[in-house]
Order: sequence, then C-alpha cells, then structure tokens
Amino acid sequence: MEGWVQALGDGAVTVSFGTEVTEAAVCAVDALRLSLERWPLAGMEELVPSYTSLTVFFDPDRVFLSRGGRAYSTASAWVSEALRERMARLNGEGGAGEGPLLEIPVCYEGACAPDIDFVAAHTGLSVEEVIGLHLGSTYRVYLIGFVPGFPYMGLTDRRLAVPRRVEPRLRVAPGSVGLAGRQTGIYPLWTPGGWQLIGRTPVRLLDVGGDPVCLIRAGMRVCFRRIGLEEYETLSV
Amino acid sequence: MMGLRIVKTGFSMSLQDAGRRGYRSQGVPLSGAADMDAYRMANLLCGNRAGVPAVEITLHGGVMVAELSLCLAHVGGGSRLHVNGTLVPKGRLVRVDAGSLLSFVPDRLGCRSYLSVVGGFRARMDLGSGSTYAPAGLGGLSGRYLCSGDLLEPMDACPSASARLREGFSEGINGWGAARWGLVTPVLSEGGQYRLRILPGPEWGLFPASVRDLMLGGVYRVTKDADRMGLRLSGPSLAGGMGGEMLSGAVCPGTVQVTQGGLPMLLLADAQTVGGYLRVANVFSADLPVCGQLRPGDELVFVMGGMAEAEVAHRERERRFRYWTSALGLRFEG
Repeated sequence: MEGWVQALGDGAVTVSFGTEVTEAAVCAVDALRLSLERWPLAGMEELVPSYTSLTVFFDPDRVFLSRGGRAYSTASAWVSEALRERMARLNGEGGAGEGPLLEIPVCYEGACAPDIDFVAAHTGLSVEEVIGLHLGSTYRVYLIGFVPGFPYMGLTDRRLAVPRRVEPRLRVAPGSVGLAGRQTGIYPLWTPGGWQLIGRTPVRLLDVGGDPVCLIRAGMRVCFRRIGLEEYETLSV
Repeated sequence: MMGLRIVKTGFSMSLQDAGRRGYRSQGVPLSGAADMDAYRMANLLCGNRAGVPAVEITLHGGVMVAELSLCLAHVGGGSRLHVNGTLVPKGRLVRVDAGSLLSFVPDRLGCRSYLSVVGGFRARMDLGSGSTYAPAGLGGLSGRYLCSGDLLEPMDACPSASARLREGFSEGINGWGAARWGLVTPVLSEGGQYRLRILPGPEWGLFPASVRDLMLGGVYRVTKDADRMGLRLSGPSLAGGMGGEMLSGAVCPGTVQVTQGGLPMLLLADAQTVGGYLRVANVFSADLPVCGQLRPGDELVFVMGGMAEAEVAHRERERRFRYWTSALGLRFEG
C-alpha cells in the first residue's frame, strides 16, 4: 500500500495510508512501525502510530550529522526519502497484523457498568446481548492516546455502535471499559471522559514504575473475559 | 530538610525539565518547560548540567522563602523577581541570604519564567524526567503542581560552584548580590505583536486558498482558554466549509489545530500525543519558546516559512546555546 509522506513541523514526518481504517492500511502502519523499531533511521527519536498513519520524530541535528555527504536540502527531506525507500523495500511484505494477544478480565455488573442500560436501550439489544457481543470479538489496538495508556481498539460489532455521552463525565475511574462509535477503550487513570461505560477491569493498565509502562501497546490484539463482582473485588486488591 | 519554601504559588508553579522523551507511542506527552530557551538559560547561569529540573512560574503572585543561602537565576517573562523588596535583574546568577523573601511581581510582557538554583531542584523522576505532568501524576513533587507549604530542595546541598563564584558577586544589599556577568534575555515582542513562523501542516492542503489567506493575513488573539496543553486563539475563522475532524493522528508542541468552530488552537508542551482536528500548520521549533510566553490577550500573526529556513533557525538556536555553554562554563572554573 502506498504511503504519503508529509512534514509535521521541522522535527517529525507523518506517513499516512489513506483516510479509511482498512485492513490494508492498518497492516501497512504495523509493518512500517515494526521495520523502523528493528532498523531505526539515523537520528530517529520516537514513533507514534495511529489508525492509518505513522509519525516519525527525529533530531534534525543527528540526521544532519549522519547524512555522510548525501545531498538533500533538509533533514526533513532526508527522513522523508529514507521512509519512501523503506516502504519500497517492504512492499509486498504484509508481515504484520498478528500482534500479541492479551486477555483482559472485565466485570459488566452494577457500579462497574453505569451506561450498559443506555447502550442496551440505544441498540435495541438486551444487556446480555451487549455483553455477549463485546466478548465475541478480538480487537486490534490501533493507537494509544488521549491520556497515557488509553488504548483505542476496534472494530466492535456493527450492532454495538453507540454515540459518545452528550455530557462527558468529569471523572471516570481507572479500569473503566467504554464504547464510542465502533471502538472500545479502557481508561487507565482518573480522567474526564465521554465514552459509554459498560464494564470495569481490575487490571492496572499504566504502571509508571513498571516495564513496560503501559500494558497495552499499538499493534496488539485484545479480547475480554467476563468476571463477576466477587472476582473483580478479589483481583482489585 | 531546607530549601526554598513556597508561601504562595500565585497563578501556578510546577517543576519542569527538558521533557519526557521516548513514551509518546504510549500516550505520554513530551511535557517539559514551555519556554525551553528561558529554562535552558536559567540552568546555564547556574552552571548546571543540561536537563536538571527548574521551577516554571506562570505569571505572577508567587512568594517563597529561602531557608538557606542559595545561588539562583531567574529568566523569562510574566514576572519579575523581588528579593526582600528590591528588584533582582533577570539573566544573572544571584546569591540570596538565608531567610530572604522572594516575591514574583507582574512583568509587562510574557507568561512564564524559570527559577533555577545551582545544582538544580530535586524532582521525582518518572519515565526518565522530572517534568510535572499533572493529568497522569508524573514527575515534579508527587506528580502535581506546586502548593503553598511545599519545599523545593536543591539537589546539591553544598554547591561548590557557588563557593567558587562568591568573589564574583556584587556587594550584598538587602540580603542578595548579583554576579557581574549574565545573559541578555531576548525582547519578547516588537510593536506589541508576536510573529510566529509556520510550516504547512499535514492537512494544510485541505483548506481552500481563501481560508489559508485568512490565516496568513489575520491577527489572532490568545483567549483565556490557555494552559500548558495549548492556547485557543480568536480571530478570522478557518472553518470554510471543512468538516473539522479527521481520523486521529499525531500532534506535537507547535501543531496548530483547527477546532470545530474554525478557530485555531496552538498546542504547547503538555499537548496530547494524538488528535482528531485538522493540523493546518506547525510552528518552527525555533519559535516554540515564544509560544510558551504568550498570555491571554496577546496578539500574534502567522508567517509562512520553508523547511530549510526552519532548520537553519533551529541550528542557529542550538549554536547560540553551545556558545553560551562554553562561555559561561569558564565562569565556573575561575
């Protein structure tokens, strides 16, 4: 798949693979990310993957020093050209797509699921059907954003599509599992939030002292396992 | 434990350093000083190694007490430093006696200043940085903005550098003395208007030419909706029939987003890592420090530049700091 390279200021370039979240675009982002993680470009600092784009942050001074006589007008042009070369070499190798699978326990009961009745009413499903559909898919992690460690995952079953809350909550508890559009996500820390909350996980997503810092990373796959309130309480301790 | 005791924080204060790198893919913002130049100058004046934490002081109103004798430097806008009631020059290394009262009084221009001490301030290091990022409780003092009663401790309790510099200070009056050398801090705005050089953003091409002309020809004003994440601007609307939203993609400090109402928002140090608004432009990295000095009511214009110009501006800025580092380094060997 053809990637389109554009500057994001003088310290980053973005490669985008279209504006539709297709399997091909998501795989192209993954393949380029994996390749750059393994064989970084000179002067590259960090990568930020998103749905259909990958942004490469670089240090222009280090790029400048590393060019070794190759004539490009700017560090940004050199990084852009190096990315085009890399993509040309990757062409045909879909390669990625099957990231590591993570199972997250979720309690869909009581105070853990404040919006589940709204979701049922909005979709015309029963609460049990909502839970069943949420459990029924394996989701791809498109990106981590909004706040540290928040995974944007999809796609949920077409029948589970819901709008965001009209009035976002001022405080959403860590571990809350939400729905928005055809995506599902998990709040890693106390934050305002507008997603419809249908469950809560006792698993800690963000551990500043830990390695990795975030349990869920872009490119992973996630499925959910249903737990009761009792198990939720036990695992929360 | 002794150090600088905060009596009042004024508008707001936090510990910041050169920023948190390497975790943006996990949604952790860069953070760090919003005016990286003023922050670096404050550390250079103290003879500190690059990247040690300093206090970022937003606007004025703050009051501190030095519980012990300290050598410090104050650089940036938004406030001026009074020690025991007399004005201390900016951009100088200053020796302050134990028991001195530091107060930050209004300055005409700018928004943020940096207070550094010899040795740097102690901060909790989270993910390799002492920068405060309050939404996730990272860095600083317990991951939060500073409060009255907080104690800021210098990392180097008995700073050898200050001992070596002692004879270089002017005669103490009112409990302080300044070094006879310093850095000339930049003039913030000429003619009361800030000029930000920009590069086209990834979605620049999606805006009709008439709308782009509006952006480049118009004067924007910083609204009250301004914090370390970003500044909402008012001025010519860039809506022009655009949808305003896209699939989320990476953003960074300096990205100018166009929100649903058509008004631009300029992202700063604590900007989230991805966003769903159209990225119309990015400010030159060399002009980012100026962005950190914008306060509500300030006027600014956007000037389109080229990549080569942006990279030259960046290199010149770094060259200036390398020169200052070696020039000021000599002061600490005598």
